Amino acid sequence: MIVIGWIAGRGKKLGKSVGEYYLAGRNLGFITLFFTLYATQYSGNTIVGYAPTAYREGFSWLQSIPFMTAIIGVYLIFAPRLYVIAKRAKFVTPTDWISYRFESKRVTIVAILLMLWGLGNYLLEQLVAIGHAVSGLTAGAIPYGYAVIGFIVVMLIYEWLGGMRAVAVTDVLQGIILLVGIFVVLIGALALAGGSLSGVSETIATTEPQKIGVPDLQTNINWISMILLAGIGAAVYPHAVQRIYSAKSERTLKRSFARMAWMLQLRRG
Amino acid sequence: MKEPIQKKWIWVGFVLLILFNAPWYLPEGMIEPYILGIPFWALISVGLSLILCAYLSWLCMTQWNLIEDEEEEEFEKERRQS
Repeated sequence: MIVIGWIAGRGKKLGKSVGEYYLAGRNLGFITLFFTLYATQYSGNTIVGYAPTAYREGFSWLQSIPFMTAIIGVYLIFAPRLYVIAKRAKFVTPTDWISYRFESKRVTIVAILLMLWGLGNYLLEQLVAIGHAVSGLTAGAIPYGYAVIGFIVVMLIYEWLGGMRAVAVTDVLQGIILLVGIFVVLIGALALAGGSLSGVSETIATTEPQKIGVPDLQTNINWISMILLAGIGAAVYPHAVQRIYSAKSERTLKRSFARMAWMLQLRRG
Repeated sequence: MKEPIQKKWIWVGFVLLILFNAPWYLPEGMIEPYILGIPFWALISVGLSLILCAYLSWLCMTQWNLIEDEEEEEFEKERRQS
């Protein structure tokens, strides 16, 4: 990742242009933009949170498929116009839009605080996830705390070396790892469970029928709420908004969203 | 010029696909029939999720065009000049 960050930032005027550092010169092409948007919607909880939730909740966790797809629906509400305005007014950060729209320092400061609060939780979640993942995968050989510090150091170095371009390019690699990883985990889990979907379903139906049957009304209400909550929440991630600013063109942006709608489904499925 | 937020039918379709994604309209606790080892109700839900995905993908490609033509013309000019 550090090498990729270094290569991404080499020869670019990162120290001289804010747009170059934070938005990769507003020149992210289709492949890079697609993978960086894709990787942005996934985080530590995809691995250490959702899979265990599916195990605990059963089939009703199928709600996690549409709630990620709904993000694209929410993007369609604001991203088309935001991209145009951001390009014309040269926005760099998500709060530039708030300042542009409301022309109020107070509103902008409130927005900054809210975004920092959200991002703080998001970042902490990544640190906890990487700590547990590395510690678990190495059977404790690398302790939790060291894994977290190592993750922070690597992240800071590649971002410092290459700015948004480094983040986007490393996202391409992370997106590919995510894609390959999910198939390996899926095949591995099925093999460990006896190799047959019918067998797995029948075992669940015998031992814990509530996990495989049509859920009760309350769960159905929560299901719909989760689609709306995740759709709205993840679409306005400050770092996701910044990727809208980074698109090379409207065509690139909408093509990335169109492909992402399928990939989110595939990944979550 | 096409902008998704201006078209009401887009949002009616979106809301319907979300509402029917949860199987509230089927009897609670229903498991069978199985299809390919998966309960039928779960397949309906996955099928509706796939339709949602296809719908949104199609909307992005066909119902969104604010400055695309303008930008493509500019890119074309730049290409010719270089």
